Parts: sequence; structure tokens; C-alpha cells
Amino acid sequence: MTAGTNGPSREQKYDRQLRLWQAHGQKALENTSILVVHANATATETLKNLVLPGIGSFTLVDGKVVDGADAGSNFFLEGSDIGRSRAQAAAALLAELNPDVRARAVVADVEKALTVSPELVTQHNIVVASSLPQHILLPLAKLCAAENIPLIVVRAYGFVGHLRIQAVEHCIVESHPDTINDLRLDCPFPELLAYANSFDFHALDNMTYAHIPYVVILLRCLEEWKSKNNGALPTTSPEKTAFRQMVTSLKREGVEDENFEEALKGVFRALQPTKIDSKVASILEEARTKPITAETNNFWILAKAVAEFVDSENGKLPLAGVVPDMKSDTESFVKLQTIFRDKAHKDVAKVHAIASNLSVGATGPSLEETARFCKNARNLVLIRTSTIESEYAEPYAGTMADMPENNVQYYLALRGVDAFYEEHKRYPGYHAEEVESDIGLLKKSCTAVVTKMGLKNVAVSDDIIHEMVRAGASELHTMASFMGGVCSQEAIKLITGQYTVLNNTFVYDGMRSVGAAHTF
Amino acid sequence: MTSFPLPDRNRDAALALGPDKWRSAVAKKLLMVGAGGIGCELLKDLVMAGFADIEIIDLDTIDVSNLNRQFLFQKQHVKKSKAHVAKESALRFNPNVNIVSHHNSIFEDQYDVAWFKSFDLVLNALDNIPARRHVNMMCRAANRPLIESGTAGYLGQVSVHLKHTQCFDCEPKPTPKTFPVCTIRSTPSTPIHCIVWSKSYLFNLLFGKDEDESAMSSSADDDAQEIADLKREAEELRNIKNNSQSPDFAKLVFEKIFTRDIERLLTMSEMWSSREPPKPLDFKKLHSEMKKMKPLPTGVDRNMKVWSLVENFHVFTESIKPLAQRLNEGQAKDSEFSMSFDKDDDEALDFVTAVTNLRAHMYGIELQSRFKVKEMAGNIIPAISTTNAIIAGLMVLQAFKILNNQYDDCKNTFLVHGGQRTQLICGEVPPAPAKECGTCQAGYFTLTVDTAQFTLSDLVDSVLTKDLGVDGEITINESGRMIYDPDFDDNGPETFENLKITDGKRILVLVDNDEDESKNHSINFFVIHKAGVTPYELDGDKKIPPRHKAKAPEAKRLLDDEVEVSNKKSKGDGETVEVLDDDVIIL
Repeated sequence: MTAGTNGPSREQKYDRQLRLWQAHGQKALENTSILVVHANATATETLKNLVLPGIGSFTLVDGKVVDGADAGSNFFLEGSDIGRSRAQAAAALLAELNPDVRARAVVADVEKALTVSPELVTQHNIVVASSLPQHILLPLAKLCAAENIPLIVVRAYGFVGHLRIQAVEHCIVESHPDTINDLRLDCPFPELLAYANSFDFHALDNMTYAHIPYVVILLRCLEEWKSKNNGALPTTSPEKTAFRQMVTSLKREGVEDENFEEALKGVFRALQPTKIDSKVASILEEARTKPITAETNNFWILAKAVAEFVDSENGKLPLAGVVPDMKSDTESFVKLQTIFRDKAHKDVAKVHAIASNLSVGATGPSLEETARFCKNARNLVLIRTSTIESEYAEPYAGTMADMPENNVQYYLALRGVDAFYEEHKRYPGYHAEEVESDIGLLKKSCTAVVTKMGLKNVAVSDDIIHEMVRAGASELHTMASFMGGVCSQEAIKLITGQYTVLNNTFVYDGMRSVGAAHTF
Repeated sequence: MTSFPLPDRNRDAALALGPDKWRSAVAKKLLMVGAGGIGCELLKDLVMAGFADIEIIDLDTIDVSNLNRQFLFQKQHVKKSKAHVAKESALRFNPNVNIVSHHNSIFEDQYDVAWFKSFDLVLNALDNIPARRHVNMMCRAANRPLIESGTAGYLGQVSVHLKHTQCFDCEPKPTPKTFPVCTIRSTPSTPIHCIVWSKSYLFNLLFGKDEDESAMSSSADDDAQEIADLKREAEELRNIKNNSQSPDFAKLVFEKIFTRDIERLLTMSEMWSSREPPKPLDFKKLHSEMKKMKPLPTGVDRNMKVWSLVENFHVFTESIKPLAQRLNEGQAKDSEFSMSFDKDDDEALDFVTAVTNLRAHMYGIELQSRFKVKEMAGNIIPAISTTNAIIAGLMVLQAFKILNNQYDDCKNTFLVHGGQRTQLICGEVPPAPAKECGTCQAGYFTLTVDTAQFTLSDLVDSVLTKDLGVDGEITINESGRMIYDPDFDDNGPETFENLKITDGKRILVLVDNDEDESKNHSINFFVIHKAGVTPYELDGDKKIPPRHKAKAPEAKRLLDDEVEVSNKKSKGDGETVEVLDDDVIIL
């Protein structure tokens, strides 16, 4: 259905989110088709949060029929659905949330569907799987890794939440650092230097003097310092103190000195040499040797173009072109903004020309996309999570010391629950009459997991074993809704390529309200 | 598929929590304040968790821009009450619960201490600080636990406010930003200055009750002569407003604000000695250029692209007409009719965008897109369903703890970005109250009297001195007006009725003792009128905590806030409250 027919326009409906991820983020979302495996509460809550903002389409796969507990924990299944297909019933209600979204239900046994038709997976851009038994999850994860389709595994089990992201390669341009700092005061470009030199400090009246932008003050002081010190910047502590004194000495008696105070605060930043962060440098290094084919995505084309740009510009990245707010008169501030913006535009044009040459076949990245890349070039992030297969490889080589003890225990207990399922084909505590006997069986499964992982001095405590058995594979709606929120939030970060996604595991202890992240 | 031993819709909830704890929690009565972004999620979570006795209150109606996350509402519900529609939607998925909805302001007198006491737990899902502060105070007065929430983009937080932990007021809140009058009226230097002028000054003068000066503050620095001139200009504009039915209305307004007023400003040469002077605009010139103008872009571009000077001129002339017409039509029916700026009113937003940009152009300030003006003029904070879902879920987890008296297990929880802050969710034990907090380090009482008989001296002598044993200088305030202090006891013999202290009012008493700080107190009395009561009935905890004066300005602020709260109340609804969407408090 097209937007605007009778209903509210897309922009009106999506107004609030457009302010967060902008039109290009929305476009990425609308071009996404997601596969969701299992129509349990956690999965449908995840989908709800993706259907509302207008994801392109979803496919929900599930072979089960709705029972009483489903209707109790799943908002998208009603009492009247009992006996119907879970996938069909949930997809229908989810589709009602947003007529812009195409919905599809696949009623089939998940294991069979995934093995018989791998294209069910590969025709989607992202996969969410909830509460999959290990023997179905591992082949799915392997397929997703091979095809570089991001996969999020999520589960709410009693009061425990678990989420694992597998993204073989995820490139982030807009990582949204708190501030972008790229003033180049240590190595001013000619237009900036010329502007700073255009101020005749002695001739200015007091009013104008109080409004010299601090950037100009620092540039002039640095130039003077360099001329007296063979072109070197202050580096040692006494030199820095002397430099600060030099800035202070320019204050005029009886004249408001807010701009000079800003300059003094800016000294520390100004003396940090403009250089490329090691993580960004390694991305550029990889891009330099990467062959560009028709399949190469724009991130790598632009990274390669920027690498060439850096080589031709004495190791400098394209200018971000952003000037922070500062004490200044409007005219000087606008002038300063223009100087930075013009230089940034020039850099973008150069990078765009290189990128267009590099691109094979298609037209390559647009000017707009290039500009975004250049503005964020100093904050590029590349995430390559480990595979789920390697997490399950035995023994586990890493340490989990960065997680609180209880979260480690819950992680291991969930692995034990999965091992229990593989052995007994049911979840511990699922049948009330078996609770007592299942406690011993789950303990065995957990011990086996810990032993296989090769962990020393670790055992899942009896309390946690009891808790897991008591939970009886229950999916508490509150936890499902919460984990669905976390899962969809990370999915949106993956889809839009904005903000840094979790790498790669999140375990939530809902009893103690403690979350923990860990990189497997 | 194996059959369930408990084929019950609450099987999972009962299993996970333990049947006894689950049962005792869901039997409790809850109040949910706010049925917006967080509220929709919260109501769904509460009902799905098995809670069956819930009241919801929200004064707001549904807007199109809510539909991307407030999933209990659909497009046919636009303009209807959020509280009522949320209730109806929730009942559709579980008809067996008792939900009462109020389409009303929580500031109304009927929501008194006794009403708050009828709940076991209060959950705030609000979008503005005044209402949050009010509910916080009422929860203190009623001695009820409060769970507070807020989101902004990908960030969010849930905090728990119990008797022994920080209340919402313990941490000082940022005060709303204000600008000097002269900056707004004569020497703007940033887009926001132009926006404030358009929406708070011009829009109100032309279409509203009168000038809204709340976003402007005058200080001694401002030139008195300049202020007088500005007053005269405003008066001239009021006169033009009387011509709003004239076909020349757009021209009259334009030439006044963009030509003559600017020309007058230019004569004040000292103002421009160190500033670039503004350049007045010419109506005739722009009008003839407009005839050659290509049509304004439509759809997304109209909102996202920055309009040219002549395009802004065009939108100005086009939007002022229907606004003037609406004013005239409204006033024909009701002479008191007026409009206030609403960011979701397309014509009002067009007008404010165009005026902002025309003004920015004169002053050499960067022009803005309609989209951006809306964000700045409406204080819009981005809101999405994912964050709301996370925050609402965390609130319910805390609710289970509180309702099972597991106070030591409660946590304040923060949702943070991924990236460097890898935890995603951070928790902290709720901090202890701030000793100098004027809200929670205070006494709260319900005072039942016959207001026609009971006097202020009765309050001072019988209640405060004899009954509560206070020892120090007494100052008494009601709704921001001081009615009694050591140097002003004229009101002593007056009855409450004569002093307009009627049923539902709150009196704030400050007790100061210079020698013994532990005898300083803040005491609140909620007055209930009952004819024939003698002498009075007092209900509340007589162990009143001392009011620490470590931060002297805090005590002053409390009085200022009294004024603020009463203003909000008198104007009735959200119009005067800054409209923030699910905003965040402190992060």
C-alpha cells in the first residue's frame, strides 16, 4: 500500500523517528526484509518494534499451533487463536500495526524449512531467531555467517534474558560520537590561517576584542610559538604552561575575557596532534589493498577513496567541517563556519571523484553519501563479531571475568538448558510432575557444559538450577517485551548502520536488574 | 505438542515469579500517569503480567505523529482521548481486567491525597517535568511508592522512589532556557532567537491572548529606553491586529515587522557599532519576485529543504491568511477566543517557519528547514518504540519488587548506547534522599477543618505550636502568596474561607530556628473542608524530618516553584507546559 492514500503521510507518521535516524536511515529500514524464526512473545515483540517504524517486510516462520500459554504471554495471539497456526495468527495482528509493511507467514516446521530451503534465509537482509534448539540454531548461524546476513539470537527464559549478535562484517559510518572535534589548530589549512592572520589584535576596539573567536586566538598564539620554536608545538608540561601564559598575556585589562577563557580551555585539545586513530587507520589500510568489484559495498569504496585522499594530503583525513559554538560576534562566527564548510566541501569533492573512478559498473556512492562518510571519517567503526559456531566450539578459550558472577551463571545455565533439551527433547521443569527429577538432570547438563568449555573453578549454583527448572521454559511477557525492545533496538542499529551495535552478547538478570555485555 | 499442566493465560508469569508472589503482586491497585509512548507499552505489559486493577490518566489527545510507537492507537483514533482509547484497546485483548480511564490533568484538585492513597503503586509515564514533580509530591504526601521513567532517542531510564530513597526532586532539574528580551527583540544571533521571536512573541501578539514573555527575561543590563520602544512597537502591532480581516493584512504586518521596525532599530547606531546591522525587507520587491517564483516543492522536500527568501515570503503571505480567518471565525463565536502556537498545526508551523527565516535573513543568520524549525519550536525529542519497550519492561520488573516489599532489590536502571559503553543497561541502588530536598524532607498532613470557622491563628497556635510542637519562626504560603510571617501576622484572626484557603488547597509552612537547625521544617497541609468540624482533624506522620539549609537557594526555589505549579494549574492543561515527548530527565 502506498503512503498518503487516505491515511496520514509517512513523514507525519514517522516524524519522531526521522529526527533520530534521518531520511537515509528510514530508507534503509524500508528497504529491509527480515526473517523471524518462531512466533513466541520475544520474537513478536521484536517485530512489533520494527513494524511500527515501517520496516519493508517481514517473514514469520513457525510450525506450532497456538496454545493457552501463548495467548497468555504473547500480545499478538488471542484466546480465539488457540488451535490456529502461531505464524499466521501473529503475522496477521502484527500487520495491522502498520499498513506500509508487507507481512508473510510461513507455516512449517522450522528445522525442516531451514534445511530444505536455505533461500528462505538468503532472501532476507537480517534474521532474528528466538529460542531455537541448538541443533537448529547452529546450521542457521553457519548459513548466515557464510552469506554475511546479520543474525540476532534472542530469548527470554523466566527472569533471564539472553541476546547474541552475529555480524560477520558490519560497517558503521555514523557511529555518533559525543562530539566531532576536527579544528586542525596544530596544522591549519591555508584559508583558516589566512583568516586568523587577518585580525590585527592591536587595532581592535574593546568590544571587538572581546568577540575574537577563541579558535583565532589559539591559532595566532600557536603560530607565534612555532615561529620562536623552530616550528615545533608545545609538548612538555613546562612548554604547555608557558603557552597558556602566552594566551593569558593577550587578555586586555578591563575587557570581558570569556573568549580567552574558552581559548585556555581549548589548549589541551589544540595541542593534540591531528592524526588518524589506529582503528580507523587499520580500516583504511585494509581498504587500500581491497580489490573493488561490482559487489563491493559503498563503505569499502569510500574507505579506499579516503585512503587515497589521505596519501595525497600529507596523511590528513577529509575535514569534518564542524565548528563548535563559541563566544564570538555573528559575523566572525559565520565566516569561520564558512571557511570550515568550504574546505570540507572541497575535500568531499576530491573523495567523490576518486570514489567514482574506483567504482565498477554502477555509479558508485552519491555525493551526499560521500559527504556523510567524510564528515564521519575519523569515527568509522568496523565490527566483525565472532561466529556462534566458534562460541560453541570446545573448549572456550576466553574468560568471562568481565561479567558479574550471576550473569555468567545464567549464561551457563541457559547453555545447560539447551544441552538438556538436546538430550531429553523437552525443557527442564516443563511438566510440573517432573520438576524434582529435572533438577538433578539439569545439574548434570550444566556440569557437562562447563566441563566441555574447559572452565576452571566454575559451577552453576543450586539456586540458579532451581530457578531455571522452576521457570519451566516460561516466557514471561515482561521479559519478552524488554528483550524484544533490546533486540529491535540492536536490529535498527544494524539496519541503519548508525550507532555502534553490541559486540556481541548481552545477558540480563531480571531478578537483580543487572545487565552485562560480553564479547565471545 | 505436549499439553500444559497449567493451561492458564498467566501460567508463565506465575511460574517465573512463583505463584504466591505473583498472586500478591497482581492483586494490587495501580495508577498509571500518562498514556503516551511509554504508557502504551506499560499498559500492555501490566495487563499481560496479570494486573487487573489499573487507573490511567492523561489529558492529551492522539496525534498522527504518535502512531509510529503508540500502538494502542490507530489512525481512526486521531484527536481522541489517549486515556480512553488506551483503556478500550487494552480491554480488547483482556476483557477481564478493571481499567478506569481519566481524560484529565493530574493537577486537578479532585486528584487529592486521599485519591493517591487509594493506590498501592504509582507509575509515571510522563513527558514533562512539572507533572512529574507534582506526582512526586503527591506520592510523598500519600506515602506511596513511585516508579519514574523517561526516554530520549536510544536513551532511557527508570527510577524507583520509595520512602527511604531519593525523591524525584532530590536531584535539581535544569531550568528552562530563557533569553534576554533585547536579544530576542533587537539583536538575534542564532536561529533559535528568531524562532522564539516568531512563536512566543509575534504569533501570540497576532493570534494569541497576548505576549508570552516566559521565554524572555529582562535584566538590569537591558536598556530602559529600548524596552520602552519595544513596548510601543508591540502596541502598534496590536492595532494592526484589529485589521486582520483586511485583504492587506499580510502587507500591513510585513511592512511593520520587516521594514519599519527594522528601520527604527537601525537609527540606534550604538547598537550596531560592533554588530552587523540587519537589512530591512521590501514587500513590493518580494511581491513582484514572487510572481516569477517556481512553485514551492511539495511532499518531503517542502519539509526538508530550506526555502529561499522569496519562498519564505510566499509562505508568509499564504499562511497568515487562514490563521487570521480562523481567529476571526473563532472570535465571532466567542470574543475571548485566541490561538496558541501548536507545532502540529500545519498553518501555524508554516507561519513560524517563514517568519523565522525572513527575520534570520535580515540578520545574516542561517535559514532553517520547516522540519528543523518544528523540532526547535516544539522542543521535540525523538521517540521510538524500541526504547519505550525496554523502559516499560524495566518498570514492570521494578513494580514486582516493590509490590512484594523487596525494597532492597530495587534498582534505578539506565539504558545507554552500545559502543564504548558496552553494558547497554546499567543499574544502581537508589541513592538516599538529599538532606536539603524541600519535597521529601518535609511533613505532609491532611487538615480537615470548617474553613468558615478555622482561622490562621488556629493553625499557628493549635496545630503547629501545640500539636506538632514546632519551635521557630513561622512563614506560611499558599499558591505562591505569602500569608503569614513573623513580621506580618495581620491575617491571624482571619478564617481560612476569608483567606481563600478552600477545600483542596495546599498550605506550605516553613519553620526557621536560627539556634537549632534540627528544628527547621517544611510542612505541607492539604486542606479539606467539612462543615461543623471543631476544632480540626489532623492526619499524617508527626515525625517531621528536619529541613537542612545547606543549599540556601533551594529553599527560595521551593517558593518559586509554588508559583509555577499554581500557574500551571490555573491555566488548566498542557498548553502552558512545555511539550516534550517522553523526555529524559538526567543522563
